Amino acid sequence: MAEKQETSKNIFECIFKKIKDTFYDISVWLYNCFKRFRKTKTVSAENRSKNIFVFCVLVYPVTIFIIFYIYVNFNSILLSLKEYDYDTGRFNYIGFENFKMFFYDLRVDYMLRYATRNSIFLYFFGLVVSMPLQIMCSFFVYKKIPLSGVYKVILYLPHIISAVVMVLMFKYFVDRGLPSVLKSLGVQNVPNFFYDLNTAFPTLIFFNVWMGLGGGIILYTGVMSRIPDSLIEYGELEGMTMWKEFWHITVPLIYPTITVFLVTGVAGIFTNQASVFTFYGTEAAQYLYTFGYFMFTKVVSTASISGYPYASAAGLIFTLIAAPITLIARYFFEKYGPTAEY
Amino acid sequence: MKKIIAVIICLIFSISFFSLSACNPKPDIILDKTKSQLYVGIYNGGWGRDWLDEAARIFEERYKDAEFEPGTGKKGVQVIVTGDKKYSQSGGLKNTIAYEKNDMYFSPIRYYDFVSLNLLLDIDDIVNKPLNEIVKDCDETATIKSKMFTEFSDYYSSYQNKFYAIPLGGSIYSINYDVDLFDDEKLYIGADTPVIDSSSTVSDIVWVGGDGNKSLGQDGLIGTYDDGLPVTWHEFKLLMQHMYYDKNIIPFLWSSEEGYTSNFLYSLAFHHEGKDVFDLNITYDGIYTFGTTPTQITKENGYLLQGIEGKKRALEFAKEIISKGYYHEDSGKASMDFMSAQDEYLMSKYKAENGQGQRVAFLIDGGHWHNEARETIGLMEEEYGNEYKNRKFGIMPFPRFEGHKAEKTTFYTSSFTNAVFINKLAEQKELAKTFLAFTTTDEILKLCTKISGMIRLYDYTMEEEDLNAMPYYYQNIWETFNDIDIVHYLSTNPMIYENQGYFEGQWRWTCQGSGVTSGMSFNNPFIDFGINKNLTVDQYFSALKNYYDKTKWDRNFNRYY
Repeated sequence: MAEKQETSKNIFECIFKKIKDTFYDISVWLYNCFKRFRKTKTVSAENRSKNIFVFCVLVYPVTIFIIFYIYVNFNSILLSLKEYDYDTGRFNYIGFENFKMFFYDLRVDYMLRYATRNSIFLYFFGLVVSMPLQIMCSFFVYKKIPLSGVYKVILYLPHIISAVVMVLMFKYFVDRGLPSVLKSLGVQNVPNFFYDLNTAFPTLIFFNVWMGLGGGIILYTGVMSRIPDSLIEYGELEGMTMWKEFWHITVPLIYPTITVFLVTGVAGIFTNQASVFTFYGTEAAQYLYTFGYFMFTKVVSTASISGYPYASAAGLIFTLIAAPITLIARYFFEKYGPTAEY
Repeated sequence: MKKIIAVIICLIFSISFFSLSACNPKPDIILDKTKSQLYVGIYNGGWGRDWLDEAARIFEERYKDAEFEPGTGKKGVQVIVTGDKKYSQSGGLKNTIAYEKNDMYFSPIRYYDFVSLNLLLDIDDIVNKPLNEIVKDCDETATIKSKMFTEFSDYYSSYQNKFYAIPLGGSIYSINYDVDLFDDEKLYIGADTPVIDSSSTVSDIVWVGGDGNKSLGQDGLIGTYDDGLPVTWHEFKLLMQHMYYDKNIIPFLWSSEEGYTSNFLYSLAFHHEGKDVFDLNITYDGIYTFGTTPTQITKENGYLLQGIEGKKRALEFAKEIISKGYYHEDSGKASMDFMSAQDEYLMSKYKAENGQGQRVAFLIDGGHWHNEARETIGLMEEEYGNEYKNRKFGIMPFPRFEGHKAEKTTFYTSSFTNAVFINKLAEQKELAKTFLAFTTTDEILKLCTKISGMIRLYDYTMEEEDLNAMPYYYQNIWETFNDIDIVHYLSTNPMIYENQGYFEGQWRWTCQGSGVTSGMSFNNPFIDFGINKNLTVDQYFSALKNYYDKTKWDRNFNRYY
């Protein structure tokens, strides 16, 4: 029986070998047939090939950059100096009127005052609470504390699920579930978390911190996993505690990543809408305004075209403020932060 | 090898790039190459698209032998309707219309934005032509312009003295009430009720049911839609008190759509003041009497109109409901979106019957809510039988406050921005014009009202037969529209149309507290009275008047005067 199986196996092997050889012969024949058409590449031809390759790879992103960054921003700068004329359907130059109006609004408009306060608060809250929380949680996951994998999945889950679904779930939980729990615990006068002056913005901050936690953990654990094991083992041999490991090894080694977040966060002061639009649409109360949301309401939704130049001026002013602050922040973070290489 | 990779990358990008520009609005539709295609976009909001689908079907049938593209061999029309909320001002249609496949739209837009950007096709010829010369098998000699309500005809022909769009229809914000509940629970004011004054109590009113002898209502006529409904604010307060304490009924329910409650109260303000005062908010040319002081309103002092009495009355209305707890506990909560509120309202009958809750009498929503909730109504019919399908709802006029000035029942609406227009870049311009005219024939106007409940802004009448085939709510809306004033911000005044978002938005109720309320900000009376229990009507009213001052007004509008 075994002999029979061995024979059939040999037959199959023979067939495969025959097919393989046939294809090889065909490829050799084809090569010889077309050999005379092939050119021997010179150095310049080789360079040209490389250039074509580089060009093909870059043409798309560069085009996108030119259209959607350079052109759009250049157009925004021009737009900020204009006003819309409904009779002609054109934008006419009016000088710096839009800038003047925006600076005036910054002084007297309560929406912008709230936006300034909330946006700056959001950044510092992120700096003091959100980011350390992300790093601490990441560290525990990285150190593989019991059930760390489960925590990782649970904390990252909000990132996988659609933001709209998360908002809906959060709304129902905070609006209905939480008050029921608090009432059952004997709490009187449970606030309307989304509309009460004292709770609305903190509720949004909580949501943002929660949503940001998963993303932060993935990034920071990724960076932490690149820390050489030998370094940790050496520390452990020296009797290093977990806290010392965190403070003297982990934080300095992931500091470049932290810096990136801190620096981009500065620019985010002027763009982060903090999920206000997702929760309240275009009709959020003034005390919930952030710069990002303010800009959103000026250009989307039912905004008229006549409002675009003002929005452009506001955006440009934000950029002029954000750019130097970002550069200064980066300079300080890099100069005075811990330095370590591995 | 590098070349091959480069070519593949380029191909992938090219395919993905160009495939986007060739998107078919409805890929599941099989194109009939033997017919001319007309692509139509409709804002798929409260009124849905059913009426347009039916109109398209009739149009296809009527024009099955027509040739719109001579020489191509194509005969007949295929109307491809795409419903989407992106077909609107808020959906950014003005930025995307040039790239959309649709030849024409039925959408809410800022007309002046679109027309000044040269996005719309000139339809002046078709608007001024008798319909029987445009539409096949139509015997109407009237033109679209002559059928259109004059104020809309003026508005849509104001740009370069040509028509680039025509009105569609809109809804009003009023008190939607459960007629069955009033019938069953005897919540109507009986004709035998003695004169009610401010000292009257609930027991002074003779409450009657649906078959009882009802009072005349606000119009003073018997047999009309408002029979038995409260006329004065005091009567309305007694009705709410009666519901809440004697009948275990929750008077009000509203959703988290802040715009609905804001519009509702704004509507109430002008129900008190009347159309003439609203027109002052458009023209800034006239006299308003603050207390006993007549004041000339001009563009320079338009901010004074924050202090009109109607706004204070609307605040009183909101304060009464909130302070007395005459509302569903989930009203206005973030999780109570408009669909949830509609469902809760409809289901409250079932819940009350099963001891799971209380019935709700009034829903704050636009007139389109009934059509929007038809899916729930259908499900209830499946679950509970015809009794639920034939539920009766109606529109109740706002009560009259002391010092009521309006000559007619007045409603404010923000939904008259709905328009019908043809894309300037439409491939089938003539076909689109024909379809546009077709949708303004009496046949389609009636069909639209019958299916969706939308009142088209044209002169047409519904036959008794048509009315009887409509849900009770639609009949009620139709009857209500017969003798009311409707006010809105569609204006040819640049100060208004260039700042429509401002007047339809923050101008209504947004302000910052001053004095005792300093540091507080207000956005919506229902919400703000709910959060700040100590906030009084006078404080909110003062905040409105103080916030909109001369300085802010000049900063916003001095370029217009």
